[in-house]
Amino acid sequence: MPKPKILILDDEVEFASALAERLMLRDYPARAEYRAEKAFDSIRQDPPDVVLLDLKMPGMNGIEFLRDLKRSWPRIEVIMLTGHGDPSYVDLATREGAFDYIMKPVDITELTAKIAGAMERRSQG
Amino acid sequence: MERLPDQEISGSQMSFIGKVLATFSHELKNHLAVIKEYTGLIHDLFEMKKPGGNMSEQCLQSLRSINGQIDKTLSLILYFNRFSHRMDAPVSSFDVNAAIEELLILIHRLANQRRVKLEPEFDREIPEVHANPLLVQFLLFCLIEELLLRLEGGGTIRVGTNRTGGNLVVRLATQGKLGPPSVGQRVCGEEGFGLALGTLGATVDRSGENSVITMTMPVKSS
Repeated sequence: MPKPKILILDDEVEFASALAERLMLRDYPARAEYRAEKAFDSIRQDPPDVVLLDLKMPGMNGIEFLRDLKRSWPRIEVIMLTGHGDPSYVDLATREGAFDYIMKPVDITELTAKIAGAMERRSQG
Repeated sequence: MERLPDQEISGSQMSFIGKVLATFSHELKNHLAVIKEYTGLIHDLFEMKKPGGNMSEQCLQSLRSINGQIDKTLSLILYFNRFSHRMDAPVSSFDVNAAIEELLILIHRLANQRRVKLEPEFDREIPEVHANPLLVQFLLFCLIEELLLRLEGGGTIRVGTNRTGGNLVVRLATQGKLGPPSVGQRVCGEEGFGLALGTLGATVDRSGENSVITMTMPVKSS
């Protein structure tokens, strides 16, 4: 069974690129975007199954992006990437439809488990 | 209980220091996250040994990135260390350009979040100032934060210094669309800000063209 397509959206270019490479080594079709506007174009062209979304980005915060994403693509699952794990932000993200969150620096094993969980939820409709 | 003037300034300064600390720690964590990803990638490349691809080049690129992040982290820590030592003595003679540069480096992430560039335009010939350096940084932070909140959709804040007679002038000029002054709520209260100005013998003028804000304070007597 093919692995889910992953889009990483994070303004930290090197972080997102390295994470994408690590996921690709594990046979996930993964790509990275660094700006929200370009990410929407990328999603329109090739919708991913899961988006790994930075909570805080210049000019547009992750919660706003999540809201807009879910409005247009409700079946795309989202896992928030956060450096501080502020419970209020995490709660808000979950209410807006995020599947879960993961702290940066990322534990790759934990991440792939969360991706599997997100896909499980999606398969349950 | 009525707050004394010192407490008013202290409370406001604590908020300012807290914001600098938060920004610094966030920045540090981001650099470490990149380092961790690249060390993980190198580990993956060796452990997984995927056919094809260019493992040597990928490892070298990862090592270059790790090195770059370490350099950035060390630079940031150096600036933070200097900032921390501003509190060693309540009053000292110091290079205002260096103090402002330090502040701009430490808060650039805050500005970045608002898509604002902070650009220094220093007069390198200005003399030292004999004052509380942390208060100077605190006041400037308040003014910069005010502008960050008012700048809609990003822009630039140019921070310039020059000497006029017996005074040092710090000038904040913006490029970008500015919202109304009511939008700019500072990290400190009016009273803390005002008391800090009084302690430094400084004044702030917001009546400049194109929303230029200037802060003027006396220089050290030679």
